[in-house]
Order: sequence, then structure tokens, then C-alpha cells
Amino acid sequence: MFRINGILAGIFFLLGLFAFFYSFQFSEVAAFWPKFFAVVLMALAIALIVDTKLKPDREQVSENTISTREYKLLAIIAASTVIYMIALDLLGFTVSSIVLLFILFWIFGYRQLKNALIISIASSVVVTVIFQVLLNVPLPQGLFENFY
Amino acid sequence: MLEVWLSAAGNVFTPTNIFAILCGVLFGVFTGALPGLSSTMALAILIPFTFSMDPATGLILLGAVYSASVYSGSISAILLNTPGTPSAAATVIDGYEMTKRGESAKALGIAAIASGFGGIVSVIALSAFAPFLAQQSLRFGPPEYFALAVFGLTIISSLTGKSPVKGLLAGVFGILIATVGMDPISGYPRFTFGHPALLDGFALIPVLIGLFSASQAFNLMISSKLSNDEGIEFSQIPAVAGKVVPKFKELLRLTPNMGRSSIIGTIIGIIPGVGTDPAAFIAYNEAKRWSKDKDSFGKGSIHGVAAPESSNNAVTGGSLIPLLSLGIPGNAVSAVFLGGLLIHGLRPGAELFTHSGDVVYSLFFSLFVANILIIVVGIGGARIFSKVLVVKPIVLGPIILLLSIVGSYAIHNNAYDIWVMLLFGVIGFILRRYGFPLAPIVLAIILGPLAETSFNQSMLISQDNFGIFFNRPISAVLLIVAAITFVSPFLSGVVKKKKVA
Amino acid sequence: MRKSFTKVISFMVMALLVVLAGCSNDKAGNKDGLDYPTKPIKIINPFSAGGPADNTSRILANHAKDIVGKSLVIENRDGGGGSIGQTAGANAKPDGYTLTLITSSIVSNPIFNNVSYTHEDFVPIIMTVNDPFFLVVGKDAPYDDAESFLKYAKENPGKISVGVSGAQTVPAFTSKELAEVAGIDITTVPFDGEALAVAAVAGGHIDALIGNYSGFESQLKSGAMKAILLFDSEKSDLIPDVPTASEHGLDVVSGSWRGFAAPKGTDPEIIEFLQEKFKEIIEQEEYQEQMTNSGINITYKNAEEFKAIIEDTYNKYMKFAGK
Repeated sequence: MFRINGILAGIFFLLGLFAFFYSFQFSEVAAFWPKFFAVVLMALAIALIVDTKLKPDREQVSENTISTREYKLLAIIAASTVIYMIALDLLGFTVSSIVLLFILFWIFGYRQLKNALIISIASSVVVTVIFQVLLNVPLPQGLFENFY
Repeated sequence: MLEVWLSAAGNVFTPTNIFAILCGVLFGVFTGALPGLSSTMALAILIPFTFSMDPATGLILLGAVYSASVYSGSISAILLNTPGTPSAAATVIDGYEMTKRGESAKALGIAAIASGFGGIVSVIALSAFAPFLAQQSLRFGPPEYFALAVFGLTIISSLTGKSPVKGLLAGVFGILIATVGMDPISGYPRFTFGHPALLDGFALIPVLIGLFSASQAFNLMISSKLSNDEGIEFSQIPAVAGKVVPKFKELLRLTPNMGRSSIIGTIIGIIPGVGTDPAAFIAYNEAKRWSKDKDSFGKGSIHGVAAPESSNNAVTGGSLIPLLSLGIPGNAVSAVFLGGLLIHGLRPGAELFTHSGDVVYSLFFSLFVANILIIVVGIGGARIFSKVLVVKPIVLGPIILLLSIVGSYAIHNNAYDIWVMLLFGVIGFILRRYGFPLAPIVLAIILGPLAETSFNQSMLISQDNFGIFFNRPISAVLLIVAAITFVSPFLSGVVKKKKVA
Repeated sequence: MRKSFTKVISFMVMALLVVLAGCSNDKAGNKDGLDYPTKPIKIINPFSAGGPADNTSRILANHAKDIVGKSLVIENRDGGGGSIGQTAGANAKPDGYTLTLITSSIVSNPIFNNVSYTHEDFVPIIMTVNDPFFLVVGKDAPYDDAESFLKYAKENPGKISVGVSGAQTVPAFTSKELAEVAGIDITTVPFDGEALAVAAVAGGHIDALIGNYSGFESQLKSGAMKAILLFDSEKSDLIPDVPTASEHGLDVVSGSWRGFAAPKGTDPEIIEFLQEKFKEIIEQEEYQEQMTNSGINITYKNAEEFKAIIEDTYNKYMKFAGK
């Protein structure tokens, strides 16, 4: 736990440091608040290291480290969502959503082809109908603009 | 007086108006439970339909939607670990723990009862003391807002989980996140890096959806993949068991808590500009403070579900007080509500109660009926809602992700908010896995800007004299309570250790 | 098997083409050279639901279907102080199917913030609303008209706190302009919306506010507040006894105007068509009644006049931007 908390504290410390120095370009009244809390953030980051050193067993957990494998899977989800968003303007909401759901089902191990397909289509269409038709939220329609 | 109420009851118990309440409650439950569809949006969607309605019917419909959508955020909070509306962020803490124990049905039942209870208490306050309470609400000036926000922020210290430092880090991280965008006093664009989309900062709802819903979706997908491939067993959510309606004895034990939380919610509701979300957290904190069994909070305490739910629904009635008697809409929902009033020529103010008394009292009476209906729908639907737990995590994960996407998009009709949601989804996933509580981040994002704005306003008004915070009774008292709230969780830890030693 | 699959595909492609052709045929039948509108028109409202700006567009849309021929669909795209919706509106296809509800923020956002459009990226169609700003004071204030206000402000520099609806909003600039023109020193206190500023004046936490009539109407009627100055060129129908700033020798005219605009490059015939139709809507009795009920001041200006007003606002802001 010490190593991970050390890394996290480091990230928070750097974030605080960045916020602190970046705030110098703000107008005086705008800078006060972020500067103050940037300093608090840095202090707490140091406190986290001290606390972990003094009481390494405080959180009693060892299994909650994220494995490289999990990071890879997280990256896959994020990447699929990014591609989805790029496709959104072209294919429209419904089609993109069907593809996204189906791919995620497939990658993450739901491989009953027929069921996966049915669920992808059904939930995308239901969401489209709810938002577009019932709630009047204009979803991106891409190429299929004139269809509904 | 009785006559007024009888005629109001007569107005409400017509087929049209009962139908309006029923539709309003169902629509409100539906929109509130979906992450991303907030109460404000639900009302805004309906406003054009009320144009052509009878004034009373229109308001009855809006009132029912408002109450029901604030309640139903708890459904997804309890079942899916993702609050349907920001006001249910506090309900997640104990609600989802109950679900993990297999008590989802009971949690849903308590949420419904507590919500209805809170709603009814606030309607009583609204119909009996509105003019008096409205005048009290005006005692809140910038210094009082600052003190209240500071008090709200100190609650973070009791939401920390196992590592207090991590809880505080999460809170301060939230405050810094909230500084992105134009500063409230000079309008200087902070941390926007030249992007106009960041001028208003990160919108609360996409951040919230990311932190809770998306990260939960990631979690479901990743853990089912790992358990599939490597045979790692992840703790399964037990199927629904047990009764929806709690035992009478339990209800009796919940009553003081629900009463206190409802009063807190009503008071917070009366103060313009604070709203449901802080009210839920403050009630949660007070429930914990006065409980004999503080350690059960955060581990699936029924009190931890009842408190925020009573409180956030009590805000609904409370927020109508300054709106109807002073014409001051305290939050976005009230602003939409005000539009619904005005369009029919109903002017808020003392005259509203005398000139249009029939409409106003019909609205009040309909809110009673709506809150009772919330309890009925909540208890009746608990088992149906719980069916969502039967869905395999691998199927549920992507669908929650899709709802997160469409929910963040819908809030401003803007793809930019999907990016925000995704960013905070990743942050939320990582923070959660490393033992950081998420509730402090939400609380800080909501209250940080309020604290900053009111601090600067106070400085402007007092011409930089800090005394303004201490020589006004309400703000002085709130700041003292804040100091006690902040320190006590740490002190009680020390005391406990001494006793053990 | 393979063959039938190809058949199915080619059939589907054909069907698709027919449908697409059908859609485009739809657009062909025209009269007087202008074939518009053939589908619902979207109006981007860069602000959130609720409040006077939203009502301005929704009440118009409510009456549009019969007059314009197709319905107007309001899309709330708030965020970035209006800049998100305005960016979308400025970059929309100039085909007349995406309009924007514009306010003075289309002028101020490009000046004060780094956005990709300017007010010149919009072609004004019609101005439907001009809500002039009032200076309002609490009932317990040691002044109850403009003269005593100005006198008090001169004697107590910085003491009078004036609430406004936010930083960099029109009332905030108006407060500064008033201070400059009158040669007084007042403290401008930004709030998160006019409602909270009204509450602060009603509670006696600040001394005055600059805002729209609809925001403080109830307080005015109950006697908790008093309007002492109007920033408009002529007196208001709503409260005729309030003097204008110019009557006190102060040249400050300020209001929140709202209207509709199309992206640059839109066919002038469409602009003209919309201006005529929208004018027809705002002449309807029911429209006027709903707007007045909502406390919104109806003011009609045609495209040309509207353009001049926008330019005027621009010049005013540029003056402050330099400081």
C-alpha cells in the first residue's frame, strides 16, 4: 500500500503545485481560492505519505491494487467510447450505440452472439425512443437525419 | 381554514387532477431514476404542455414530477451504486451497502417511506407557515451562506471511510475541480486553457455520472472479464430477499431521524440557492452525529438511507416557500416552476394566497397526495426495480455506460459533456479502487463555489472586514458548529483508542 | 445462399436510394421561389431551461406552428456563459433550420473570452424583447429616490453595495457605467442570478440592485423594495412613475435585449420570411398576454434596427474591455 499511496500522493502534490503556479496569472480575486486550496492539497498529499508510513495497515487491504491487466481493459473501454464519439456524428446515435454495445459485450466475454445482438439493438432503440421521441432530446442522427 | 382545504380537496379529487398526479409521479420516478435526467429537465420538458392546461392542473402536474424525481434518484443509488440525481449522492453510501447485503428491497422501501415522510413534513410547513418562514429565509445574507457552505464542507471529515487523509484529499480535489471556469466575482477564466467549453467549469451532472455511473460500469465489465478469464471470484450481489416494508419497530426507531432530517431539509429548502444536494449530506451527517451506533454508518445503516431521503424531499416543499410568498426562485427547478406560475398570470407574493387561494391550496393538497403516491409506487415497485440486479454484470455494464453517455449528452445537448463524463469515469474508477471516497468530491463540487462566492461577496460588502462572519449570530453559530463537526470525527477516534488502551 | 444474400443487399440498397430520393423530392415542390420551411426549425437557446430567456423562446415556439407552417423546436444548450450554444449556432448550416436565441452575451463573450465566433457571425432576424434595467433599493435604505441615492453615494464612497446577476453580465457593466457617469463610488456585488440578489436586498444584506422588472416585481408590490431609476430612453409602462436616468442628467441606457438570429450566409429571403412570420406571432393577443404575464417587456425591432442595437452594444462593451 505504501508504494501506491506514495504515487497517488505524488500525483496530487504535482496537481496542487501546478494549480498553485498556474493561478499566478489570474486576477487577484480569482487567484485567492485556487491558490489556497492548492496549498492545502499539497499539504494533504504529504500527510498521506506520513500517515501511510506511520500506519501502514490502516486500510487493511492489499488486493485493491489495480493490475496492469485491469488498466488495459480500462483503456479498451475508454478507447471504444472515444471511437464511438467520433462515429456519433457520422452514424448517428442509434447505430453507433448498437455497435458500441455489441463490441463491449464481445470483448468483455458475453459471447452468445444472438443474445448480444438482440440486447444491443433493443437497448439502443429503446434509449433512442425514450430520449428522442418521448423526452424531445435531439440526439445526433448523422447520415440518417431524415429517418425519424 | 377548513373550508379552504375542503374545497382544495374537492379540486384535487377530480379525475383530471388525480390523473395528472399519477402521471406526474410516474414520469418523475422514471426521469429521476435515469442518471442524467434531472428534476429541472423533467419539469422543463413538461412546461409547454402545461400552457394549455387549467392553471391548477398544470401546477399539480409539475409539483408531482418535482417531488417524485427527487425521490427516485435513490432507486439507482441503492441498486446500481449510481445516484439518479445529484441529491441522491448521499443515499449511495449506505443504500448500496444494503444492496450488497441482499437488502435492496428493504432499502428501497425505506427510501420511499422516508421520501414521502420528508415531502409531507415540508408541505405542512409550506401550507401552515409559508409567509413567516419566507421572512426568515431573508436573514440569510452572504456571510450566512459562507458559514453554511463551510459547515457543509466540514461534513467531509465524517465521510472519509478508512483513511481520513484520503477523504480530505478527495474533498480538496473536488474544491479545485470546481474552480475551473469563470470566477464568480471578476469573471476571470480559470484553468480553461482557452477552451470556451470550460468557461462555466465542469457541469455537475456529467462529473457525477462519470464518478459514479461510468466508473461502476467500468467496474462491472472489468470484473466480469477477469472472473471469466482467470476464475477470480468477485463478490456477487445477492438476489433480492426480505421484505420491502420495514418492521413497525424499525419504522418507529426511524421516526426521530426522519423527523429531524425533514426539518433540516425544509430549512435548507427555504434558503434560496442551496438546494437538495447539500441538504441530503447535512441530514446524513446529523443522523450520524446523533446516532448511538455511529460505526454502522457507511456499512448499510437504514438510518443512512432514511436521513438523506427525508431531507432531500423536504427541500421540495421548502423551496416553494420563498418562491410562492416572495417570488424568489431558490434553484433551477423553482425557476422553471415560476415560469409555470407566471404563464397563467399567477403572481407570487402575499396576494397569491388571497387572490388565487384555490389554486395554491389545491397545489398544496396535491403535494400531500403526490407524496403518499410516492410511498405507494416506491413500495409497490421495489421488487420490480430490484429485477435489475438479476441482469448479469457483463450485460449491465455496457448498458449503464450507454445511459451515462446519453445522460451526459442530454443535460446540455452537447457532446463535450460526454468527454467530461468519460474523464471523470476513469478518475472515479481509479480513486475508488484505491480507497478514496467519492461523496466528498461531490459535496465539494457543490459547496465549493457557494463558499467562494459568498466569501468574496461578504468581503465586498464589509469592505474587507472579517468581523462580518462573527458579529452576525447565524453565521457565527454555523461556523462554531462547523468547527465542531470538522474536529469531532478525529477526536472520537482518539478517545476510542485511549479507551481501548 | 451467397446469391440470395447479394440479392437481399442490393434490394436494401435500392430501397434506401428510393427513400433518400423520396426525401429530396419532398424539398422540390415550391412556390414563389422559396421552399421553406419543409421541416421543423430548431432554435438553440444557449441558456438553461427556466427564466426569462427560456420563456422568450418557448412562448414564441408555442404559437409558431400555425403561422410559420412548421414547428419550432427549442434546444437548451447551456454552458460556458452561453458560449457553447452560441458556438453551435454560429457554426450551424446556414439553411434556416437552425436559429439561435441571441442576447447581449453574443457580443460580450467574444470580447472577454476566447471563443471562435463574433457577433458578426449571426444575422439578426428580429428582436422580440427589450427588458430595461432598473435601479432598485430596499425599503429601509436611507434614500428613497434617485437624487438622495446619488447624494448619499457621493458622501459615502464605496458604502453602497449594488447587487447584479453575475460577473460580466449587462447589469454588472451598467453598475460600473452608472458609477462612472454619475461620478460616484459604489460597490458592485455579483450574485448567481438575479433572484439571489433580490433576496439579498429584501433581507437588507446589500443596499440596491440593478435588474429586470420580472425579478423584483413581487418585492415591489409588497413594498419591500422601491425602484428609483430606469435605464431606458423612455418611461416604462409597467411602473410609469420611475424616472429615467436621463431625467437626472445621467446618460445610461441599458437593458437585456433578446431576439433571434440565423448563422451568417443564410438566404436573405429566409431571413425576411422569418421576420415577417415572427412579427405576425408577436402581434397575437395570446402571445402578448403570456409574455406580459411572465413579466417580459415586448419590444419589436426589425432586422435592420436590431443590427444597429447589436452594434451599439458592441461599442459599449469595447469601451469597458479596454479598462
